[in-house]
Amino acid sequence: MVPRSSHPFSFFLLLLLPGSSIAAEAAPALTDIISRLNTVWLMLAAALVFLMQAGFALLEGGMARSKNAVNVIMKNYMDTCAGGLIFWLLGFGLMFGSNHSGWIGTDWFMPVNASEWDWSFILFQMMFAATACTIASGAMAERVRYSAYLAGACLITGFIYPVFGAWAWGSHVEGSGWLKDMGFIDFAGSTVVHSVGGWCALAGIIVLGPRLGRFSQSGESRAIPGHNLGLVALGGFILWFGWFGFNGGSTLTADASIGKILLNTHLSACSGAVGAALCSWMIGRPMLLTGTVNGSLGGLVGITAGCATMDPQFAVVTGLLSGVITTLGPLLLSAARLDDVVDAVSVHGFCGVWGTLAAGLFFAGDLFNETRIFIQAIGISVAFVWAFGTSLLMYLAIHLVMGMRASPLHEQRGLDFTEHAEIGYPEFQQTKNFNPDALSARN
Amino acid sequence: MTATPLDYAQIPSPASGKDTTTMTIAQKKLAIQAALEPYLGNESLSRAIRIWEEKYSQQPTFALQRFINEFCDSATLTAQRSQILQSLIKALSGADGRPRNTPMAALTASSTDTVDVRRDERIACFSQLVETVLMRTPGDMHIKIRLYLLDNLPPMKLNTLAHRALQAWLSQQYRIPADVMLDEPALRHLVNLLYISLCEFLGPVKADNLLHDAVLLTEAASPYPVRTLL
Repeated sequence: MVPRSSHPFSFFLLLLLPGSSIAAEAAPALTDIISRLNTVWLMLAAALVFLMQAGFALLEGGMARSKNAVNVIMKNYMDTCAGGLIFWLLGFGLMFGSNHSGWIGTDWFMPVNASEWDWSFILFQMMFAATACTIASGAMAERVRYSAYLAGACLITGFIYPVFGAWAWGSHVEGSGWLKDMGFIDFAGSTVVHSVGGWCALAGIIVLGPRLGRFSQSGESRAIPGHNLGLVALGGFILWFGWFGFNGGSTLTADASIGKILLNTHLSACSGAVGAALCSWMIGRPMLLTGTVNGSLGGLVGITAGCATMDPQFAVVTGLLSGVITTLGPLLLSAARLDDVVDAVSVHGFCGVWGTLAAGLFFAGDLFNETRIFIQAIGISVAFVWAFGTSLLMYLAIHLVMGMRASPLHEQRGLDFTEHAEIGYPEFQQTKNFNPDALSARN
Repeated sequence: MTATPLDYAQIPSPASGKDTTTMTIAQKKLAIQAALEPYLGNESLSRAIRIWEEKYSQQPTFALQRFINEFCDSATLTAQRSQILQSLIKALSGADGRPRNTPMAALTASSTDTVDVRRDERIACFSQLVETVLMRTPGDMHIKIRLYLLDNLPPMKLNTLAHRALQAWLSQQYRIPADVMLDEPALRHLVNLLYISLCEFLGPVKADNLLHDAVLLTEAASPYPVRTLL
C-alpha cells in the first residue's frame, strides 16, 4: 500500500522542485514554495474561468436560432478580447488600484511594472471581468447590433463592473471599498460579477425590446426554441466545470479551504437543477433541458457569494431555491414582455440576489444575523441601482449614437449573415431567408 | 379529322438561348399578333390576344398549347393547331427572321428594354412569392397580412402608379402590371414587411419556415432569382 502523504500538496511540491537540483542547491524557502503553489493554483483557476467563456458561447449559441449562432458566439469571443484589453487599460486600476476614498481605485492603470504575484492576480481578475460582461450577450441575442453590443461590453468591463467591484472588493494595494468595510460578504461575486452582469442584461433587453413576434399582440408569449440543445448541455457542463476555478480560485491561495468551497459549489449546482425540476413539476410545466441547465447555473450563481462561509446543508438550500428562481423568474419577465433569450437575468441577476442574501443568512457559526443580512441587502440594492442605472443610460446613449437594434431585415436574414457574412451551418441550415450568393462578396 | 401531333421538341426550354423570358410583354404581344395574323380574322385575332393577355402573358412557353386550344373553336382552326403553334414558337423565339433575342440584338437593344425585361420577371417573381406565402397561411390570416401591408405602403413613398398597383393587388382586385416601377429594394422591403407580419401574427418560428418554403417553391418556378428579394 502506498503510504499517504503527510502534506496535501506534497505532489505539487515535488513537481515544483526539480529532482536533480534538490540535492545540489539549497531548498527554496517555505514561503517561496507557498508562493509558487498559490500562483499555480490561481493560474489554473484563471484558466478554468477562461474556459467558462467557451461554456457561455456554447450555451448561448445553442439557445439561439441557427441563423444567429455565429453572431452569439462572436459576441462571446470578442467581448473577452476587447473586454480583456479594456480591463487591463482601465478597469483593473478603477477596481483594485489605491482606493483611499472607498469609492474608486486611482492607480494601476495599464500596469506594466508589478510583482510576479500581481500579474497572476491581474489575469485572474481579468477573467472575472470577462464573465461579468459576457452575461448580457445571451440576453440580448438575435436582435442587437454587433458593434453596439461590443461598445456596451467595453463600457461594462472598463467602468460599470470595476466601479462596483471597487466598492465591494477593493483594493489590491492601499485602501478599501466602502461596502467591503461595512462587512459585505460576496466571496466570489454573486453580486459583484453575476448580479451586475444580470442587471446590465436587464437594461439591455429593455432598451432593445423583444425579438420580432416574441410576444403576440394579445400578449401571448411565444417560445422561440434554440437550434441545438446538445450545445446547451455541453455549455452547461463546461460552465459548471469552470465554476470550480471561479469559486475555488477566489481563495487566491492554495489552501485547505478549497475542498469545502468546491463541495458547496457542486452541491448547490446539483440542487439547483433538482429545484428547477421540482418547481417545473409543481407548477405543471415540462422539465426542459434548458430549464434544468439554467437551474444548475442558478445554483452555481447562488452559492458564489457564500461558498466559503456556508455549511454544505445550506449550500443545498441555496441551490434548491436558486433552481426555483430560475424557473419562475423567466415567467415574471415574460409577463412584463421582456425578451431574455437565455434567461440570463433570472440566472445571474435574480439568483445573484438570492445567493448574496443567503451568504448573510447562512453564515457558518452565526446564522441569521440581522445586521449581516441588512448589510447584504444594502450591497444587493446598491448593485442594482448602480449597474442597472448606469447600464440603462449607457445603452440608451449607444442607441441614440449608433443604434442598438438590428433592422427587421437583418432579423429576417439572421445576424450571422448580416453582421458577419458567414453562417454557422452552410450545408444544412434549416431556413435561409437571405441571398446566399451575397456571401461570395466577402471573398 | 385528327390534328397533327404537336412537336414538343420545338418548344424552347427555359435554358435555351431562345427563351421568351428575355422578351418584354409588349414584344411578346407583337410577336403573337404577327404569328396569328395569317390564321385569324380581325375579330378572332383580337379575342385571341385578349385571352393571351388575361391568362397566358405570364405563363411559360409550354402553356401555348392550352392557349391555342382556347381560341381554336372551329374545325378549320383545329386542323391548323400544329402550324399555329409552330408559328407562335418561331415568333416568340425570334426564328421568324426578326432580330430579337440574339446576343447582338441584346447588345444593341436600349437599356430600357433590358430593364423592362428584368422588371417583368422581378414583379412576377415577387407576386408569386407573396401569394405562395399567403396561400399557406391558416384561415383568414392572409387578410390580416394584406391589411398590414396596405397600412405600411404609405411610409414607403412609392410613386403613385406603383402605390395604386400594390393597393389593387393587395385588395385582390388586379395583378400587379408588369410595367409598374418597383425596383429591387422596394420589393425587398415589401417582402420584409411580409416577414414582420408573419412574425407578428404567427410567431417567428412559423414565419421563418413559411417564408423559406415559399422561397423554395418560387425559386423552382421563377426565372428571376427570388433570393435577391430577401
